[in-house]
Amino acid sequence: MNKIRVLVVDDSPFSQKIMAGTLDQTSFEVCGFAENGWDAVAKYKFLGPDVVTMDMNLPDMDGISCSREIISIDPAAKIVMVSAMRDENLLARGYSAGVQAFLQKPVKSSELLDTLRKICECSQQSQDWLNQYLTHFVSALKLNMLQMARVESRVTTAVDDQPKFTAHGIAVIIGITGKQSGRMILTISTGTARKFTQMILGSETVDEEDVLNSIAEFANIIGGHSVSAINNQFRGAELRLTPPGIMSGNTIDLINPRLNSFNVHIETEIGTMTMNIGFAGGNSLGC
Amino acid sequence: MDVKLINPFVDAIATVMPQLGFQSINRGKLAVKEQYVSSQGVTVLIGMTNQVRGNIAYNMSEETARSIASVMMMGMPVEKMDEMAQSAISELVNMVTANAAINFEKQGMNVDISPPSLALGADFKVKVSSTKYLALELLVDSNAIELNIGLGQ
Repeated sequence: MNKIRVLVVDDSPFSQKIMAGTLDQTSFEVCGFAENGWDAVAKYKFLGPDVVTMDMNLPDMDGISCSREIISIDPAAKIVMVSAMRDENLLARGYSAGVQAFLQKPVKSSELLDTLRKICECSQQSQDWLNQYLTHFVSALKLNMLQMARVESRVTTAVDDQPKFTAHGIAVIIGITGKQSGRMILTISTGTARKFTQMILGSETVDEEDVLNSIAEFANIIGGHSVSAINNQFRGAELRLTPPGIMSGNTIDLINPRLNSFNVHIETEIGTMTMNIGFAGGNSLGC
Repeated sequence: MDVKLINPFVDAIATVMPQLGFQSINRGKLAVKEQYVSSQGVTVLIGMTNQVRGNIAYNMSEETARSIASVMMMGMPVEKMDEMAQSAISELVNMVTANAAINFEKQGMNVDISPPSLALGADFKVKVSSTKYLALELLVDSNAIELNIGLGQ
């Protein structure tokens, strides 16, 4: 069986030695050591390790910034923070950056090995998740388009690889929390939104407020149906939605905060809309 | 909206900003507002759920965002709102909101926060709440950041 390759990021020769000793004679092997943040980024690219152990205090940056750099190259990177410090603020920042686990020095070897094993086993489940979640959003969208606005829709999906997502008109933003954190954006032009609202409300006279509220509620229902289906399929996902935030204007440039995102484009007889849906590649689901 | 939902943010700013190298943090105006926040150039929207639900829009001019990003990057000059500066501002919002979440927890309210969404431009407006929201101005080394807090329990 191939060994699981570990990149150890730590500037202390003592810690490096302890880590190498712990992983010796196990199913893991140290494929490289990095002594500072930029060295870690370079070695991550070059060595492509299966998992990284990361010290918090590096000479050129902190371990969270370094993790962020690595995750920007590989959103599926698996990183375990191994640090003398372990407080709530650090945990919150680390998890939001995509770090999977925190261990406090001195680390017991059994604890380190268990954590590394758990993270590596979870990667398969994470892959299933990335392949699956989009289908739930697409079906919730089509179904509700038909039920609420009574129009058929044609849906195409594509990976969102752009640094920003530009909306013209209305953008409803809903955050997703739980084992996977993410974000959903629904955008629609003001003209189409008006027609759409007229169909939903069955009335010709709708004001700006009606339009914004209808689109926000539509997005909220799609999000609610999608995360419910996901929670049923992936036990322990425990996804929840934040209330919709609504932006409106001619041009809104939304920056992708390093999520694995897809654009879902919807064409209907009353016009088009686009849904952008993405999750952080970091925390493995249900693990 | 209950004013007691503001304090976790005020405390979070007072804790986080000095760690990032800012010298003086002062509270500016506090106002109850309705409807829309007009973007001053850089707006970061972040959602909360669980026992406190809603949205917070951090709003500032591009100039302020650049000068804050510069301090966060150890005084490196920031000429434009590039990827590095965007990342710094998103991280700031994330840190302040995560810290506020911890402060809510200390009061016995569990909250989860969403990833931040950073929006650029001054040609749009944001609705954080279906009812009223609180606009809190903070002066960080004389740069004004407006926190528009639309939360409920």
